[in-house]
Amino acid sequence: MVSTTFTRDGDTASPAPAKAQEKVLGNRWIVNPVFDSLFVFGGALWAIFALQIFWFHWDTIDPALPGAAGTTAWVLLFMSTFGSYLFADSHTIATYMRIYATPENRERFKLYAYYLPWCSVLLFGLCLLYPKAAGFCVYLHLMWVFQHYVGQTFGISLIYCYKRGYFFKPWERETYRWFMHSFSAFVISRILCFRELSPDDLYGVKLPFYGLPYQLFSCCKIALIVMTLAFVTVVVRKYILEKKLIPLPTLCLICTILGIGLSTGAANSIVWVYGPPFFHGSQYLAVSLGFYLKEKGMEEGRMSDVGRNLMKEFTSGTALKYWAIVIMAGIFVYVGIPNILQNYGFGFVYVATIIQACVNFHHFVTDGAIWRLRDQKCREILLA
Amino acid sequence: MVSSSIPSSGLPSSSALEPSLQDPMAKTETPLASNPAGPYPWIISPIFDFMFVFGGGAVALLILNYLYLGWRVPDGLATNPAAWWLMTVGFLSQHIFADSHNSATYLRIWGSDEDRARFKFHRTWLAYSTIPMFIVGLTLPGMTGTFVYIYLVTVYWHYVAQSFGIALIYCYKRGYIFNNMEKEIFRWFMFSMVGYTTIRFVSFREFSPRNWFGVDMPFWGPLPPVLTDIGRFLMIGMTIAFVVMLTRKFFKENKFMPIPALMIVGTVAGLGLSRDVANSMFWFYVPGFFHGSQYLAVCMAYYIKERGMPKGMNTWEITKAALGSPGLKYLGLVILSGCFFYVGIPHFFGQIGFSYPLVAGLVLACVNYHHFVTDAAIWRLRDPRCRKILLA
Repeated sequence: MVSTTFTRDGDTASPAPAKAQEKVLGNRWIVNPVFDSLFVFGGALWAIFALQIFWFHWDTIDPALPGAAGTTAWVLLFMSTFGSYLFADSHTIATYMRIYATPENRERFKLYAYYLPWCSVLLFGLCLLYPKAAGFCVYLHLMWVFQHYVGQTFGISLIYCYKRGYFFKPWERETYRWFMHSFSAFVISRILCFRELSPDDLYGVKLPFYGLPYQLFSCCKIALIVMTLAFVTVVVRKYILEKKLIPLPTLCLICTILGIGLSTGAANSIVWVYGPPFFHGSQYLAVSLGFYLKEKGMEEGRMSDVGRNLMKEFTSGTALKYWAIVIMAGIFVYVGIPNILQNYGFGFVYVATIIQACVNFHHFVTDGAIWRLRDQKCREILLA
Repeated sequence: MVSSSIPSSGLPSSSALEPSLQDPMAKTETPLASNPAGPYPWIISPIFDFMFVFGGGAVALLILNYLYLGWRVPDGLATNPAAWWLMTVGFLSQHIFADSHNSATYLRIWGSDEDRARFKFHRTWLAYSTIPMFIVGLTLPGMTGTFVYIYLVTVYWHYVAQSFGIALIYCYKRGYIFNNMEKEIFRWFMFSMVGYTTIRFVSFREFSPRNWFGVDMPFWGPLPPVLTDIGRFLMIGMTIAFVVMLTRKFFKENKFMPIPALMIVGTVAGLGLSRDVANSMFWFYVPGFFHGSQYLAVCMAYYIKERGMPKGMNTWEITKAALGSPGLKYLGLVILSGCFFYVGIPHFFGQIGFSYPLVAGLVLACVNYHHFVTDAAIWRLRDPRCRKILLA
């Protein structure tokens, strides 16, 4: 999501002089401590994960079980479905709310608003006609999605750092960035090199497997180890020299994304059921809705006020309208279209999987362009 | 929809309200369509209205259906290209017009501060009352059949009431004013069709489905056959009265009922009085291309005029705006919310263990219960503000 940081001013650690620093220290949270703990840096994901492991260990949940186990299974099923509607399906629509929100944005993100969506539509048509194209797209999505998760986590963790006056020097930030990139590369190379980590069939879509040499994975693993050591050194050095400890939310974000990437087997499956709604989707929506409201507040000259009372603003008429639109549009894209195409002999889940890949390609590319901390207006709003 | 007409207590000229409708027409000698000062004679535009408001689209599709497939409802997507196209049109019309038209009601009652205050009951208590109804349907699946059965019994009444209201709008927009007696004859002619078809529905098993898209239906009959005969007799009587009234108006006032109004009456009569396969064909196309689309057209025009009129904009321009960006935004919003109700909610409940068809039926019943009751309150030609906007 937030793809880059401030424009550099030499080797200073702060993004701008004291005034700007004072400005960015307005609200230390994206929303507030409780909301952020649950929906931004992974609390809800791990709480639900723990609940499932506590009741069912590594078995599949079954709502037909008798007694409390059945009820718990049903609650878990309810939460995953409800979460998907509320956060996961809707979060990609939040990107459109950002690029189509104002005439200025429409003009500025013209490529992403008016041209790239057609590529997704064409790709979707191609995937429907040629199952091999569908397999390739879904396979590509499978890898790219993790990089996207990591990118977004990196961006949001930086927001927390800057909001709390924990500023990186350029080389420190680059160390952090490449630590995150090396982690993406590690996870993606695992999929590319090992058959057992690359699904053969994902929701009815036959996936290819290119079986790249395992040496690639070894290189990525070494790079990850090196970059992890470098990052830990940066954090420890900063603590010793500047007496500043990396913010807890940032640490939680890093741990959550590490947990998602490093989990295997049943744990990985469970994490990928609850992670998209209760970590990735919810954090994206928190930031996007906050941005939307603050941008509106900026026009009315009360941005910092909105930023400080974001939880209250989340229940305002404007926010509820935003919620309603992203949820309804998410349902239309991920449920409505597959539902219509079912009448033409396509499998519901098959179509939904392809749509997810095609829409997300646009979402991934657009996200890289719209959430830029080096853009002054974007930075002011994100850090307000 | 437009549930009643102007409360003229006597003849048009003696009514306090009638002059506001009559005078502009009475003074107009040139055709209205060329006089931007008078009421706009269409809801949206001539072609749009023909296709989507007074039944041209539905009739055209019925003709195409007959020419390419004969007397049968389209099926066999993979084997017959004509069936493929007709079914595609049917599916799309279902999502674009039929499912979405219910949501247009919500945009009406939540549309402005004034409407929110005025229709508080409909957007609060009446809306809340669908929640226990929904819960009862979920917990007692047999009740869903009952709710859907009530919906099927009342839906034709709703179609006819809406058609009557829109036919009246066309009449008034074009200076074809009914006196009280004439209006009541028109009203009761329409209601006599409803009476006859409803009695038929609860009297004969073959007119009442046993299973409706996966929901088992009860049958609250049969009523004594004499009731069907009475219903038919009354309908024939009212039809004769209506035709006599139109003929009399033609000879006495030299005015012919507007073609759009006649086509609306013809289409809704075809829907109610047709039988067997023809009736199934009507019900395949009419919800989307007649009922849903006409409702959306009126609501969209209302929504846009309501926002444009206070700024003193020309109503002709405002109505044309309905075909541009504001209209598309409105349509986008109602399509999304229609999809949410009729696809999203059943799918969600399907995912957590409920039967998709059952929940879809339940949503249909709950949404339409609210829709029917609300409609009767919000589209009143006797309400000056509503009349002003509808007839502008």
